[in-house]
Amino acid sequence: MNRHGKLTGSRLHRFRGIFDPKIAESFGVRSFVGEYFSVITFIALLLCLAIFISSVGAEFGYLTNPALYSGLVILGLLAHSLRSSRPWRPMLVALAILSVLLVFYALLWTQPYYYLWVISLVVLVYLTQGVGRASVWLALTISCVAAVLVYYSTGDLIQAKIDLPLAVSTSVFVVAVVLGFYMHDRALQRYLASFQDSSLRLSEENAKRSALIDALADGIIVADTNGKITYLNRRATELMGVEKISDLEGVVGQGITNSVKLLDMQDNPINEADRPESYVLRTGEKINTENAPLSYKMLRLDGESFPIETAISPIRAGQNNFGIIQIFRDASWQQEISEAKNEFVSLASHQLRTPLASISWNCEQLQWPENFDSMNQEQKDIVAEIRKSSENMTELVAALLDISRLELGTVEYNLQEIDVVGAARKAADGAKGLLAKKSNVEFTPLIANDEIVIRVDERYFGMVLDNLLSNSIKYTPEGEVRFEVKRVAAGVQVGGIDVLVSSALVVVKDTGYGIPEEQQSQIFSKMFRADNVRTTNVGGTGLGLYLVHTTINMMGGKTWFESVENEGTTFYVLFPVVG
Amino acid sequence: MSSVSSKKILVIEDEDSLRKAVIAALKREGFEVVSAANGQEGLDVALAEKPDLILLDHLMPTMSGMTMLEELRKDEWGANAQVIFTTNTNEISMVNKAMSANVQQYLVKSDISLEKLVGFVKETLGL
Repeated sequence: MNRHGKLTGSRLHRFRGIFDPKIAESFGVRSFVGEYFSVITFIALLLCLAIFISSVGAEFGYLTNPALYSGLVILGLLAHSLRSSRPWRPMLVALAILSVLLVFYALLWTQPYYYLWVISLVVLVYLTQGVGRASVWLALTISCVAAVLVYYSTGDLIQAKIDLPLAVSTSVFVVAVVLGFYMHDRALQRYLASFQDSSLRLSEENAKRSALIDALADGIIVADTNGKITYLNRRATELMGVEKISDLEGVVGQGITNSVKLLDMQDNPINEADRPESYVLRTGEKINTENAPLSYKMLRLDGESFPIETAISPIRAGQNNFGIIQIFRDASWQQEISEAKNEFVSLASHQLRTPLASISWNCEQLQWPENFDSMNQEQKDIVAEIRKSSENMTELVAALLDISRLELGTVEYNLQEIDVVGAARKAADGAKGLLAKKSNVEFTPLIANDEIVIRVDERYFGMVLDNLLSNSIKYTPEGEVRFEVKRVAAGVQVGGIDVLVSSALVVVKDTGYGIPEEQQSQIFSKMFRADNVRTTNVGGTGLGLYLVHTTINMMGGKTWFESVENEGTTFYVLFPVVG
Repeated sequence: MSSVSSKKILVIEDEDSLRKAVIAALKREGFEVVSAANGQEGLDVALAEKPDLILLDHLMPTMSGMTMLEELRKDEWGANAQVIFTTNTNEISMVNKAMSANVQQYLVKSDISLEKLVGFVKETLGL
């Protein structure tokens, strides 16, 4: 890699690696050659200096011996270079000293070559690293050692200092450089080869993975931990209506909540904080709309919107979070089916109401005394049965209509501030009819006296109360049905649930059949009536609690229950208080 | 207080069985009853007979109840005619529209018995 981290293998660059251990490191090879040489050189130089000081000091007076000073300087610079990361200052100092020396001895001595040689070697020390530096040190060492030997053998100081050391050290230097280069190169080639191999394999894997992700029929968008898009697959771009590459500019690298336009089912834009992607980024929790009603639409570049199903997950490896991945698909078909179904139900229900009214009214006519009295008991019973069944059917049809409107989203909740106490009293009154038929059941209304104001649709809230009361009364053969309405403060716990804000609480508690534990999770689903009451003759449609649950939730409230089989059931409804 | 028998009721309803049942119930109560099976016929009969109360269904062929009502209100007599709007839908938008056209009452057929229907008729007429 060069200084920017890119791997290059050019010859020139590898050559530089010999001189720069950082480059060598980036190639993955150690400049161990240089390290060993440095140690050897250091020891040799010490010996050399010792020889110089003891051998020549006597003749020239060591205080004026250039070799001594050179040696001292070199020693100092060596020590410094071993430790310093910024050798410029000592180098400049060295150069200064040596320049002074050079001038001094140039005046006294006519062969400055030796000193030039020493100076250039010292300078080279600072321009090199690793093997190069080691070689330079070696050259210096050998020069000094050779000079000593030659001096001892020939007695010729000048010769000792010029010819032989020059020749020897130059050869050593060249050999060291070539050797070092060769060793570096070998190691580098091996490294590069293995790297290219794995690099090739990596590209293949990447290509395969890209092809795989591109082949998926669902759109995939990947974003980093800041919500910036890092990847979209082909299907994602298709679904988003991206046709040209230029459309994509301003998508990759942009925030996912800006580039991907999500709308709610009424085609209103969703603000950033409410976006599901933001939720996943913030909390690390997954979102999947698969089993929920359609909640989101995507806006294509051409302005069309279509409903989507989407799943968003955080991307994690161990403790590290890498962002999020969003998968989405066109759910138009689901929406069409759903709408067709609901319209059918709605239409059928409307159509059914007419014959139902007819049956009901005709039965009523049969029950007029002028007709009824001339019937025998059996006929009277039959007419009563017909009337009861048609009433049942009417209830069912009404419930079906309500549900289809709920699911089509055509329910128009008329949210207003109403007094719960008033609504509760009305519901309690309305329950009197049912209670009249149940002499063994005692009704205990515990309704607060003061006004408690909540924001709901009055008609639907009344329907919920009626439903809960009639269920309790119906499913309690004997005992008590308690109807409690009061205000609860924040921080209180009710029925196992923590109340977060000041709320209105409605409790309908009975001593009836209860709900078996294994069926409690299905209580709020459509068409459900628990097994233990299915055989009892209670009438009703089984749709009531589904409507109650959905309606309460859609109006911003909470509903839940506690129940023990054969002991009774308690239903809770909670709404935040207004004002 | 005027008695029931002096009152004339117009029943406009396209479903035969429903129309017959309502007529029977009203006649039983003692009212004089005229009827029509669609909006256009209903409008003609209303302007001709000038009944004390009109029971008007919404969903009908040729002319819907709402349209008939709008036409009726354009007539001088019709503007003040007493009308009970009956239908099988209880959607808010429909209710609001009917109320704004000055109907005396809005009833959902499948939700009430004949007895209650007759009761509303009497109540509206002040009987």
